[in-house]
Amino acid sequence: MTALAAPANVPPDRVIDFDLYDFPVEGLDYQGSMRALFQANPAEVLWTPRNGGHWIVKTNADVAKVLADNDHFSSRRIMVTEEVSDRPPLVPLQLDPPHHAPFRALLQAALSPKAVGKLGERARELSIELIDGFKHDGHCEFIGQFAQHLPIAIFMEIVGLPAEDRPYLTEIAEAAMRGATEAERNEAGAKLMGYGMAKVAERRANPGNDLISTIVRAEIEGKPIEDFPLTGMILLLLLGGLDTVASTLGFYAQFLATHPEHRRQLVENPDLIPNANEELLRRFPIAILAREVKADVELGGVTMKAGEMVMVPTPMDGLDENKFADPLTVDFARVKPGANSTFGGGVHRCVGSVLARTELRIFLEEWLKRIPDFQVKPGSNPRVSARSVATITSLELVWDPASVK
Amino acid sequence: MSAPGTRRYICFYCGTVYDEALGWPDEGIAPGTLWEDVPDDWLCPECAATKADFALDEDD
Repeated sequence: MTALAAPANVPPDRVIDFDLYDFPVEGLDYQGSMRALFQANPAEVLWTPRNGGHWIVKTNADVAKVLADNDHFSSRRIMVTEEVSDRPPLVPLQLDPPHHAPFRALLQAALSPKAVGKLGERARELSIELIDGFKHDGHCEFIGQFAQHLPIAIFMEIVGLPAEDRPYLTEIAEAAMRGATEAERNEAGAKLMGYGMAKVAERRANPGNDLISTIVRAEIEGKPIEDFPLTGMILLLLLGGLDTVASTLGFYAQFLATHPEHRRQLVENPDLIPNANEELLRRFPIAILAREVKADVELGGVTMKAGEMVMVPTPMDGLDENKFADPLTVDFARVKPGANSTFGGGVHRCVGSVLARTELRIFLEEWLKRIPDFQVKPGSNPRVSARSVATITSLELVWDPASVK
Repeated sequence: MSAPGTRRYICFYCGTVYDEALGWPDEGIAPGTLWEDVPDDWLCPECAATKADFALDEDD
């Protein structure tokens, strides 16, 4: 790729040539590796010629500012890329306020704490069932047997999709998020859309009590939602619901597998789990967001021009030492670790975060009760795969079957 | 419904309660500060959700 020349408004000392969608990760520490990359480049805001050329913010203050400032930053485009996708915008994520609000309200009702309370019990039953299914084996491939199973099965119950479609959907969501080429990602996105729209047609003909039926029946400003935004809404649900908690669970499990003293703390004192959940979310965010500059704005000593893109790596909020002391250290007693941007921020903060938190907490509670000691299988070589969302593609865990409860 | 000065607002995401009578002194918001006087850029101290993510506790 030929490097783009930086536009005139980019000071030369802010230019750095790296691709944050594809950078070297040390072991499985995606977040720590990202932070090290930024620490080597101390300027507050950077600009890279990669992916069409874009700004990168890297402090907790700037991450929060960009996500909160709807006057200067738009979520019309949420990825930095040279190529133009023909996907419909993800709704409501890619709508600016106030247009996003009625669509978001629909999702918020389905994912409210009250609604999630019932789903949480279902998630607990399923977690126990999954863990009991393999705990006596002394090993599992965590991603396939648990991380991609629990949250996706719960999500599929919310949207009323058949359980047998889970492997197919998991595979195309993976290709849509992290396929090797733009063409591969777009093709998988198109498959996901096709699947979603077929379900929309089914629910129009035969509505149920699921979220797709609710969306199909909903009216916004007195009118049913048109097919184009409806497609974007279903696609957002599928991408959000199929990938994110599964990816986060992988990072939780690899951390616990390699930190026996932390495991022991939670086994001996389960009351620590709610705060530990927030601390692990702070330490292991998986998403890089992006915004388009709507109107010229000064940030971090530079002028960003309308139309330019800004990358917003969410790990850099929770891993900023000005906000959290000794940020790479996981400390289950840390005070208020939850005040971070792991779920984004501002009006587009992750609408599924109540459910995500619940599922992650239930994993910690039910797994550690049954499999208190486990490690990464010696000789296995787990790897991180990332673009805008990072994941661990395979994680072989082993334990002594005699130690399970 | 509660009178201004005694209302409670709950964070949609984490359930944190902003109680007008108590304010949030750690963050410079004095006891008795009405919800409408809490700065618009104030974030939930527990989970960083926005002020708009808080809803009036109707059970009060």
